[in-house]
Amino acid sequence: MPTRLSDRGGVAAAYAAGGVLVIAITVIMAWLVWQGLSTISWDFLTTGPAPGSLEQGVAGGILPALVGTMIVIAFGMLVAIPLGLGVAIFLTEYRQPNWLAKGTDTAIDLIFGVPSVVFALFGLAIFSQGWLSWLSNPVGDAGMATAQSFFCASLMMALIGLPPVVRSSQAAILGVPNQQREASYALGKGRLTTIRRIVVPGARPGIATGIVLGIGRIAGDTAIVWILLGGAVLQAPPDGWYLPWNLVDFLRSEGSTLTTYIFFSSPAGEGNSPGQAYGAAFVLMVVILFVNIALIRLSRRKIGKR
Amino acid sequence: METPNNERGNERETNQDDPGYERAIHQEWHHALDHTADLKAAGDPTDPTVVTAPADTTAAAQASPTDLPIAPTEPAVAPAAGTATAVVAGHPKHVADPSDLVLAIRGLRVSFSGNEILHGVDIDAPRGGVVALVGPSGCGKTTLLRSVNRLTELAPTASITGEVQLDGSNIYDRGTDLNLLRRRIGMVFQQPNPFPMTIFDNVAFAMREQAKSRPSRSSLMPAVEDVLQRAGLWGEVKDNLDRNALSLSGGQQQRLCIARTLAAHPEVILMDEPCSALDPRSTARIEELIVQLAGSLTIVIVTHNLAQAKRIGDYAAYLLNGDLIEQGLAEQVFEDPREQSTRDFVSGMFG
Amino acid sequence: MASFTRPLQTPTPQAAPSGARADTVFRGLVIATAGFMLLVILAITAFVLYTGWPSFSANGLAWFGSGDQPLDVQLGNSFLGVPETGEPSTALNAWPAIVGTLLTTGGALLLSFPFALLGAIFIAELAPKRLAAILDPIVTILAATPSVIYGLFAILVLAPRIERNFIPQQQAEDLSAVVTLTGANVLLGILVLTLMIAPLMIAIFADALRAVPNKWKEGAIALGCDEWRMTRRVSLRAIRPALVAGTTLAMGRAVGEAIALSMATGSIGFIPNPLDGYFFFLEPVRTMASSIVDYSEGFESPELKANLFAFGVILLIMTATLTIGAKLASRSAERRLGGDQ
Ligand SMILES: Nc1ncnc2c1ncn2[C@@H]1O[C@H](COP(=O)(O)OP(=O)(O)OP(=O)(O)O)[C@@H](O)[C@H]1O
Ligand SMILES: [Mg+2]
Repeated sequence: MPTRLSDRGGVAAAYAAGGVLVIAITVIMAWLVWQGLSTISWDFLTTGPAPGSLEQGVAGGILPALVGTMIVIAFGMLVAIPLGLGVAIFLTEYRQPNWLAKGTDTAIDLIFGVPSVVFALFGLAIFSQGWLSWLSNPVGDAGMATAQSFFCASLMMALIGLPPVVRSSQAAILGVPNQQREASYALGKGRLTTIRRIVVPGARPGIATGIVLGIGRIAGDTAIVWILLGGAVLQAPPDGWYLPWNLVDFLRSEGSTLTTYIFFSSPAGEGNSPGQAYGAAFVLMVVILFVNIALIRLSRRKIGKR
Repeated sequence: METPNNERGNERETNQDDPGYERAIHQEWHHALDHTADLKAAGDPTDPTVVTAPADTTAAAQASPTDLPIAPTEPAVAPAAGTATAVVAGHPKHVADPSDLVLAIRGLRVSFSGNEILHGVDIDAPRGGVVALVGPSGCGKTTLLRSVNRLTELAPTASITGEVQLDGSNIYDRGTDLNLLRRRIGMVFQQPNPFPMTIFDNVAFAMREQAKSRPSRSSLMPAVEDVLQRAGLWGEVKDNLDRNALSLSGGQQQRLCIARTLAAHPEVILMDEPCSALDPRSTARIEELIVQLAGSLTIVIVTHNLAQAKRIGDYAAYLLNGDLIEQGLAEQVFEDPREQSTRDFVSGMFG
Repeated sequence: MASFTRPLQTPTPQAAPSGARADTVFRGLVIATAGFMLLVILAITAFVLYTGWPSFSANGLAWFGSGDQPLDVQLGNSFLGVPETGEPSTALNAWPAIVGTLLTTGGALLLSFPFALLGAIFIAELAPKRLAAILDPIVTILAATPSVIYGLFAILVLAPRIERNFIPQQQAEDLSAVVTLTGANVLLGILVLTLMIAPLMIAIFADALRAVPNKWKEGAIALGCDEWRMTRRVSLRAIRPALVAGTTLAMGRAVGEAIALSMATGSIGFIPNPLDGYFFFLEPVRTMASSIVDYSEGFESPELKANLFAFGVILLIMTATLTIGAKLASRSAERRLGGDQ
């Protein structure tokens, strides 16, 4: 026990903060599990909102929202992963020209800091232009587009998922020992082969960590979906949307994700039905939990490898 | 060599007259001053005339006959607390009374996760002496040293039994004030580890820790200068005390760490290979410093450099695989070891 | 920064003739992705600024002023049209939204910084190892929890309790001519932001505390410090770059948070009146970011669009300043730590 009064106060305050933390965590977790479990059922997960339920409050299930979350994650990461890896490889293996390296570095930092609502505005400004109406749907004859579709939302989600992919991969690539590269060059292998066969495989756990972090960010974002996917309505996907010849049309259409479903069905949204919101929040937390379990496993693997 | 010590003594007394200084420094400083005064009353230990006094020699001989067998390393025979006898013989120049043990380690056993590293070690450190701990890598020297200021237990897997007596009381007794203990037993680490702050703040660290209220810079200055002088660093840094300590050279950093430790007024300083990260010149400076500090302080130093151990050590202890093989006067251990394994080690290192 | 830069030049390979072209193509691709990132950040700035510009040019410096019309009326006018003429107008005095953003962000930082610092010290240094091992992943999960879930918690769990316990009927009626008081208000906005950013800060601070080199921690302990003194005197100094980085990151999140604040602040463009005493905190606001979400259905109106994009411009400037400021600040803090001796 410290002797000085100020120290005792400090230690007491730190313990108090720890106590508050423990209590807050317990309350939030208990609340979510309690409320979530009382809503959730097999039907809730596998059906869409009940027809005609959108005006007086939402009823029915969350299947479309769940599918929507998966789609923006999948398409967002589909763009973010190759881009992010490319940037990471440039920033570690090449770094020439120097001005581009410095500029890209800052750009990634800036993109990491930009609020998602600003990305949503950016997407709106770009995708509402007529020549991009193939990404969503044309509006009237003014040469404009709705800028609301899975394509539009996913493309902006890619920017949200990108910075963690870049930074984690970058750190992991730097961790690949130089001798391994030199050994590959000494065997007469080219740069591309060395990167593909030595560098990227060696950095795999770090790259995976970045991808999982990116998925977590995308799954949790609301503003982009609200503005670029059209959050106000909760649509059930049309039958057979996943069939290849329907898919493109489906991806050009509006939709919802778990986050916008929660927002919409909360008292702050039009669908004011807390029970549904709790259920969706519970499911979203399960997604986030899986993401974090994956992260913990990956970090164990990284440590194990060294 | 004795002159700076005497100067220091005078300087301290002058400092005491300064009222601001008085206010700032916590009791322990006065303890230390009193302690120094006691030592002086008993006869300046650094005074060579005292060292050669025949009366002392007889006392030493009585306390520990030359032919006393080396402390047994069998755990069953570990002497009980309080019955410690000096196992060292002879009378090195820094030591007033070889039977006056400031530190007595008795049957110390340390294990990490059930893996025993030290198998019951007994070591004596007479007041004012320099004890050099030697032994092959991995034999447990660092562990031993860190068990003396109770750093070992910071590792959650560590379990420690046995006794370490500081001035006759066991530091592993319940109710030991760890912070006070660690001020009485200072430590200098293998890697210089100045804090990421200014030189001044590094040296003033312990004084500020020990002060009740926040001492002003001017009230700390005399003491800061004093310990920097003693650590032989004052001349190099006096003009830029506000420089970041991490910008000093390795050797300077290590002397700064010694100064920082001295500022806490320890009775014992533990040094774990303090020169292993340094070049020969810095090493020489620190060896010189250790010899100067000996007498007013007790120093336990781990070193891999047997020549160094011989140069600066009054006593030496040889550790092998967690067992104490032999301890005694440094000259005797290095030139005429009793045990065959010590002989092998020493000849291997010198040969 | 330094940690991401390879110190050694990768040796120039003796390109095998067969792979040489593939190498060149790949290099071009990689450079293109990097260039694309520059393009993206430039495009964001250009598009948002271009679309929002009419709002700034129409209002001049008055954009930042408080004006005499409530924010909601102004935004309504730029969508539905000014009552007199029926024409939508870009006229905007955005002060209420700016106040809303500053109040909620500032309040949340004041609340969460000390809490996060103490909580991080608790987890990293003081808590029993077992408890820390449990708290650690949970804090990470809390930091990754979507803001909409915190918004839901705020509006369903906290708001009714605030309304019941802190808003006396009498007072609410007295003020009802000016503003309707409910459980959703500045205080709830601050609380929900604190729930969002405190775990983030705790996670960053605790990681930094644990990463303080052992030699410094042991050095302090060997000088007779306990864990608390060691943390105060040595670790907190060593983690300054992380303190700066974590706080600015959290601040950026708070400034840009749209959804949770739209749910929690009451979303009424009101300027809380300091003269109302503690009721100041029980009055609603509407922040810049949540205005964008709240009015997102009115983007067809070019006037409203310009005004909302103007909010976006301010948010972009604020977060970019934070990002770059944090980079410079933590770099100089690192330098002071002697990171590059
Ligand atoms: N915290 C710990 N946990 C587990 N084992 C440890 C720990 N500290 C030390 N050991 C083990 O104790 C043994 C002795 O280590 P120690 O550092 O004391 O040796 P040393 O004599 O100082 O060696 P060196 O001369 O190389 O410094 C080693 O086998 C080491 O692995
Ligand atoms: Mg060692």
